[in-house]
Amino acid sequence: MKEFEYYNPKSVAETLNILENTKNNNRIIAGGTDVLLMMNDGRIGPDHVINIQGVGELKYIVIEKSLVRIGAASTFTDVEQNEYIKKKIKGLYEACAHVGSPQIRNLGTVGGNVINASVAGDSISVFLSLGANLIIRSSKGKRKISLREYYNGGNQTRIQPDELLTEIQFKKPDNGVANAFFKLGKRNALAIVDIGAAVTICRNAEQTCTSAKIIGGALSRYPLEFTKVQEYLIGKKINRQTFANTYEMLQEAVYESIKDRPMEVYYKQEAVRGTFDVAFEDILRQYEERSDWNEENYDSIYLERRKV
Amino acid sequence: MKKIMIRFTLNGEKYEREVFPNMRVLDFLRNEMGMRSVKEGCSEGECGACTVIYNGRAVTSCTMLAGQIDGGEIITLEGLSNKGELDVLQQSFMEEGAVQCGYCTPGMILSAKALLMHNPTPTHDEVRRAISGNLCRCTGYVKIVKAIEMASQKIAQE
Ligand code: FES
Ligand code: FES
Ligand code: FES
Ligand code: FES
Repeated sequence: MKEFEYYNPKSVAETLNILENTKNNNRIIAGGTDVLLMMNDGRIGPDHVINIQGVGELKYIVIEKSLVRIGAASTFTDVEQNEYIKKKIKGLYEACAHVGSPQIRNLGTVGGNVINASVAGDSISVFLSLGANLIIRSSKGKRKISLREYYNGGNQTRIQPDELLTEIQFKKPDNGVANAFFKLGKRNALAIVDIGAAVTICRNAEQTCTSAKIIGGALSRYPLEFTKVQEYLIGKKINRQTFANTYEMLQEAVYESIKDRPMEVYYKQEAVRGTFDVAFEDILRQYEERSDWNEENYDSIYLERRKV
Repeated sequence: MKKIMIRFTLNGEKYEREVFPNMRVLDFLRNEMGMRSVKEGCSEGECGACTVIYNGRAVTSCTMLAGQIDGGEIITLEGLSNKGELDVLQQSFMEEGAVQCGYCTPGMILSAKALLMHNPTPTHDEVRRAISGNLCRCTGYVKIVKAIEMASQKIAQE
């Protein structure tokens, strides 16, 4: 591994200061699970490595009245073990519970997943389906950007060397919302996500769909938003038949996005259907069980601030 | 390159060491601290041979920089046996015949140990999930899972 100078800040303010002073060639590590591999095989060679694992300020999961806020240095294990997320945001729970191996989930952070966005970023498609925003800070100030814009905006919208991702936040799902994720992987643990289906549906009292976010992970270079399917679903009754009507649209969109890779098209077109089928079934099941839900008071559940 | 100072607890003993920051925890534990039970397999966070317990949780030491253990607590296989007396997991692995070539065994036992520390009576699926990041080329896992379940029963009987 190339030589570098190592920093171990304890606060956000200290981190921003270091970032500002090292912005010619720095790299942040949180768990280190992605970045270390890149440094070890020489894909990247930063002169300054800043470990933010010790910044307690960045480890929290807060459920507010209308907002869910997740500190960027929260690990997948932290998210998976949050009772509110497990019960109410099932897709996010599923995605985080199945990233890599247990060892990787204990180290890897949701913030790192977003920033290092390999297509393997399981959590990213779920965050996209939830309409998440990122809070990014630098010593000059703070910006808020939607995750969608972050990926679509090219290099200008991406994180800059003097910036730090501090939080991922999204609207707290109310009782009309169901969120599901299913991953078709080669193996259970250790699979770099093969095909992921992230679905967030909102329906009204008449069981009519009022909004839909349908995202496919690992189908093409970036998570794929199935806009046609989303438009189709709005205004329709949410049931098995409605979902079945979307299969052709899903397959067409997959074809469009990867038609330059004919070897993959056939397999992925088939797989996308099966993958979304499982996610849609989960949505239907959640709505069926919904009558049993009672709104417990989950406001402000803080993570115990521990080091891993 | 400037060395950094790290303070940490390894198998119950406190240490203070100077290290080059570009050293991985895996190399640090093996080469500087003599913890030869920590094995290098894939070096990519995939095989689990390098697993250690860090602040109570199983982690892959090949994906961590030495600086990251500053202020933390590490347990390796060397820390499980107490003055020659084997840990209940080690004993169970032997009794159940869960070791063949042995390369995966230290990491396997530490993943199991981390599980039992948090959950002394895991279900069959919880055991399988806990070792899902530890690859074994030899045993086919059945005996490993049995050994962990045996250890859990022994703990419950104590
Ligand atoms: S050597 Fe670390 S996971 Fe394989
Ligand atoms: S005993 Fe040989 S790899 Fe598991
Ligand atoms: S050595 Fe693995 S197949 Fe020949
Ligand atoms: S017995 Fe270990 S690889 Fe065959």
